[in-house]
Amino acid sequence: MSTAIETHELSKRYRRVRALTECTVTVPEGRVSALLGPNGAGKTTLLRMLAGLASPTGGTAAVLGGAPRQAPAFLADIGFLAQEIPLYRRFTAEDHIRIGAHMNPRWDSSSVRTRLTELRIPLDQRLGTLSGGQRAQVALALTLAKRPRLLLLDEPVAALDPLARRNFLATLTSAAADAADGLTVVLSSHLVTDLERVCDHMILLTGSRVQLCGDIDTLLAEHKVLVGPKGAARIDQAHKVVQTVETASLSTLLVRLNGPVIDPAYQTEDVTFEELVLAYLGADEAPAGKHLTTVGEDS
Amino acid sequence: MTWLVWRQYRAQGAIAFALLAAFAAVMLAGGLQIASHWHSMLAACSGHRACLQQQPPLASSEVVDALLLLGLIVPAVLGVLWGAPLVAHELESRTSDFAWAQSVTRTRWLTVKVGWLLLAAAACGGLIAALVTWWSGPDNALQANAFRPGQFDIQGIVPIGYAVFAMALGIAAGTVTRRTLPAITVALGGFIALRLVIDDFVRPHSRRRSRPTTT
Repeated sequence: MSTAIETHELSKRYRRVRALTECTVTVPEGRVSALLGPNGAGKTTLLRMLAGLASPTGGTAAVLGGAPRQAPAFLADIGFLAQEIPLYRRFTAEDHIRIGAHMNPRWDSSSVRTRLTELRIPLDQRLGTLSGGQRAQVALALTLAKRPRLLLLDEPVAALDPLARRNFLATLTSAAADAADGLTVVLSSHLVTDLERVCDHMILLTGSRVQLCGDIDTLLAEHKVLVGPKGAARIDQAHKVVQTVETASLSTLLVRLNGPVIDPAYQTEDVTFEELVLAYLGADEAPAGKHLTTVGEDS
Repeated sequence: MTWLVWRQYRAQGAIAFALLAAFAAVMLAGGLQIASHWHSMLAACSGHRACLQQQPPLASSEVVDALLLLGLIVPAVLGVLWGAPLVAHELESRTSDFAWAQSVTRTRWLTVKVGWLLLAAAACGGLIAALVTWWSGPDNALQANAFRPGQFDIQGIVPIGYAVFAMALGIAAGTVTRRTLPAITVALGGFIALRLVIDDFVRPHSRRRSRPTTT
């Protein structure tokens, strides 16, 4: 299978701030990838560079076989939906459909009309009068009408209520399934459970660097939770300890395995997607891992 | 792309059209009156230069001031008001991210938008210039001078220059400040300052230089 996105040490600096540092990721074609990370980790920067809206200050990126650039042929393949759901509030959905028809080579007006009619969103009302969830649906429908090969969505569900979020993600998954020639999606969000439902691939950024990138099932299989007596063995010599939680007598470690765990003192458990994500996000806040000691020790 | 510009600016286009139509109606009515006055004057003096020079001017200074306001200042203010949001408001409301997510490069987006607006400004300026130049014809002939204070600024290609300049100034200010209101303030301030400089320093200078050749 060919790759939709391949970056090599992609970096972006804004004056003194490092927005993204040596980011090396690969997303195969046809996958739905979750882009995770705390605010300021570089998610938006990465998406904008992939969309050809920002140029890197270091490294390289290949998107659908070429470097992201301001060229009509490249832009036609990218469906980019920015964080703020940008739409003209004084224009109607129909106005946007007509603008899109004038600005894109293979625009599918009828798909937008069908989708919005199904969702009972009026086509002839100013978008400023619609709810946030309806606007997000309009924006997604317009992005899909472009018939992109790569869909880059920057926190599109952040401002939506749970029902609107579910509808939005349902539209997204059905579009990804319907796309005949393999639509690749990268979706950034803070909502881990939403992402788990729709994604099969993940990229996790903290502090402008990539911590994890790969197939979610493979990554879950590579990580285990080990529970054992406090300080029993030097697990970190053989495996990479991501997170340590210690109580008075027990330590619970989330590790990335480097082979089987031989020490019989440890009990091995599978990790969930949420545990995996939280462990890596937490590891960023407390790099030593020791600060995560629970209150049990004090009492 | 052109359709987007049309959709975004059709309200302003309608306003400009209505204002121009009203202006043209007033100028035509006034101009026909002046022309007939001029012809009766010519007949009365039977073409004698000395007799004509005794006649009062056909365009009073109040009317010229009003024309300066209507034919130069109003279009300039509108140019600034409509030029400033061209980039600034899109950036403020993030709609630029919608436009840039279509299959059109940012260069083309900017070129087409700026191009159409400057063209529209030039067309409006041109129409105003044509009307005022025609209207001023008899008075220019009577005074044997089209370069008097005020008059010069509303005839020939000068109104086109002012209209295009005001629009360009608004667009540039909006692009630099990235905010609509500061851009309007900066551009209006800039336009007024430039107009004062031209009126008080540049024009007297050129009048002094051109006097021997025009009289």
